[in-house]
Amino acid sequence: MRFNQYFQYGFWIFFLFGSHLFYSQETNLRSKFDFSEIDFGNDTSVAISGDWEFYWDTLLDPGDSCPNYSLEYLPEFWKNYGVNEYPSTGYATFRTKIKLRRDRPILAFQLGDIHNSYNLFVNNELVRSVGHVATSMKGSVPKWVPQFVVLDDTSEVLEITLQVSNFQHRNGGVQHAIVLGNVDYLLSVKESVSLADLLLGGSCMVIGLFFFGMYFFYKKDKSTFYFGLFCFSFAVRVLIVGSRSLLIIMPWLPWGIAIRIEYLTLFLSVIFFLYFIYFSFKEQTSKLLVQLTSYIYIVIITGTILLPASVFTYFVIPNNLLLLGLIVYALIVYVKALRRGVFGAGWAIVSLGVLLVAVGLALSEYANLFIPSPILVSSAFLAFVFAMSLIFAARFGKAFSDVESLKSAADIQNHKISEQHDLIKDSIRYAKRIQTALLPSITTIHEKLPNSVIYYNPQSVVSGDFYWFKYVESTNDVLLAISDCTGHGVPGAFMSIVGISSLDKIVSTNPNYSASEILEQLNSEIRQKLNSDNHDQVEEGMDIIICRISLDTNTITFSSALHKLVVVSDGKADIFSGCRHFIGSRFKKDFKFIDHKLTLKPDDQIFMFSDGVYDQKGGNNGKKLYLKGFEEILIQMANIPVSEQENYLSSKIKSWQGASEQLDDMLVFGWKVK
Amino acid sequence: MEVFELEGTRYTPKVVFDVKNKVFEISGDSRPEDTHTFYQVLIDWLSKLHSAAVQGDFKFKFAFDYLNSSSSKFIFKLIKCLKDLESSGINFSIDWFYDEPDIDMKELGEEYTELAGMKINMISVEV
Repeated sequence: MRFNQYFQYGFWIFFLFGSHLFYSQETNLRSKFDFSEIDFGNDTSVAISGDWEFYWDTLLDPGDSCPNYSLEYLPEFWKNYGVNEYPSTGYATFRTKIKLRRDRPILAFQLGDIHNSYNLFVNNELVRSVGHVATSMKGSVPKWVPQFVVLDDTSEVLEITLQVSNFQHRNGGVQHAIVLGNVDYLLSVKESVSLADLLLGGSCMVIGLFFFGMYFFYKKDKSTFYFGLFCFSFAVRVLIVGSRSLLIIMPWLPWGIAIRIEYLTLFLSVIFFLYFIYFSFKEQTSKLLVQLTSYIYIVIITGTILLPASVFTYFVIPNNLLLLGLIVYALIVYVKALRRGVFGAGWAIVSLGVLLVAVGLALSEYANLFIPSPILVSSAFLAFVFAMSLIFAARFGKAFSDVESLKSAADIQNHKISEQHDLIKDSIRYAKRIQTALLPSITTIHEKLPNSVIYYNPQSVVSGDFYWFKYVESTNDVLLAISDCTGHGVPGAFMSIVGISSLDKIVSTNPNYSASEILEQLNSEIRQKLNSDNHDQVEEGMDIIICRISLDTNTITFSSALHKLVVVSDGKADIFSGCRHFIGSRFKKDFKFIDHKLTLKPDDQIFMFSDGVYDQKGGNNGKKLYLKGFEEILIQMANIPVSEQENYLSSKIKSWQGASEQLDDMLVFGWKVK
Repeated sequence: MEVFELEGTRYTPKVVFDVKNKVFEISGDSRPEDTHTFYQVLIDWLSKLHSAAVQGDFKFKFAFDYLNSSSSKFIFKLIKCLKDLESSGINFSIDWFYDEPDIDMKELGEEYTELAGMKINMISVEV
């Protein structure tokens, strides 16, 4: 019996249960304690542990006499008394006499847990009543709060009468020794125990909250969450057992709820601890075992919530066995993890070591080895929790240093990339100079076409769109082409050079070619240069419109490969489509392009453009501008002076594009008839 | 040979060639930096259907949102490849989706019909 008790006490203490503050100086007098030799100086207290008169099934008032009593040991639950086999529920009176010296300082009683309600009398006076003592379940009110009773009576002999009733708990009787001592000394002990509890409970709560915060910001690692929960439930437990600080703060908390919190936090601490181990060392932990234990705890926890205290308080026995198993299993997991080189495993083992020291310290008091200060015991448990948090610290420290080294690697990489990027950019920028030089200058164009506008906006520095201009003196004609080559950027720019040089070559051969003849020449030129028929790979070429503007008559002849021409006249736009055949195509080798002839009147404006402008996505839905939308812009544009048109178009396109990226090169040419 | 799939990106269209259900689809934006490589992969894959043990009527859905000019050249190659598959008993019915105001996209579909000699169903989508 005793062994089992120690075993159980051990685990109660494991979670800082019990007011382990008294040292018992066993003065085993029969029904009478003679403390007259003790002067109760500054640091003296004495436990009234020993045999008391025990009246079962009787509530005796002071002075009442009753012959039916036995001598029984206090502190002890009455179900463990001798041969009589008292049931755990019932009521009884304990009585003893204490002899004290007359010249004593002021003394006080310190009372721990007495299951579940009691009245304490000193001589004839009721000095403390905790809960409500009754002879049946009905009317009995349980309550557990440590009591501190200053002894007013100055008599030499004190008769102590203690009425106890229990109808709720599996153990009835006095669990902790009643202690008598110097009032100042007991107060200081009480204070130090409270402080130790608050220190441990408060610290654990803060650690718990900290880890909740960590989980909040990094939900991938569930171990922080379960560690937070463990700390939190451990903290609540520390505060509700021990000096029962939580019950002092919240005296209105019913006993039924308080005891459930006490037990639930014990069970939950164990299960959270298990999950913490599982998520910290997933590879080393058996999932099956975790699941199995979880099922058992679901039963235990549900039972604790639903069943009466007289039943669920028994769950502490399977819990203690499971806990013992868990600690052994934790050690196995930690050692496995350490061998695998899992970060933090070393600290995990240290934490178990610290736990054993803490439990050892707490148990040593029960084994009467030595009396550790409550602060020391609390610090040991705190050290255990702290050592566990070091598992994370080690892991996060490693993660941070990993990130740092990755970052420096990335920095080097970035530097290299930016170097290469700069190099490529420089070379493209230089290419742009060459491309610009190949394009006719605006001044040259304005000389012959003073009312013209060009909007040229490459997607990336160099462009696959190009414009080409030639003045034919003999006929006072201007030849003008707007082209969109396959590809953009560098490959597009290459193509534009092929286009420009081909056009130059064709027109230098015969400046009087019609627009369609120029396109036919260009088509065969490009085919020859790029898409020779036996070469299957290249599908390159260009869409282009070329027009011959007669400066004398204001007539234009144009021919187009896939490009359109818009004429805005009197606020209305006419769209002219070209041939659906693209320059460089491997099909229809001798495609015949068609010439269109238009006579323009003053203030008419023609527009030629690449599709990049109206294929640009933007607006509210991210859709293309489409030809329709572009047409409207052109009508507005034709309405304003030519000198302002480029800016107008540019701002229209920018506002359409909004935050969308530019998808293609853009080119628009416009000419207004004088 | 069951399913060929490519996720769409900012530059390349989404591709699903589902041989099992006989439904093929290319949709989204097509403006790859290297158009040739991108489409050659698709064309090579389709060409393998000649030697695969499949036959029957297939559906091919083109639903481009944006198409640059070099992509349009390779799509023509791809459509020709579909035409060639007829000799292996694989008949494609082609749907060409275009946004109703997108005249260029519509014209392109019509051009393919003419050039490849295949019937292409033009399907206009209200915007």
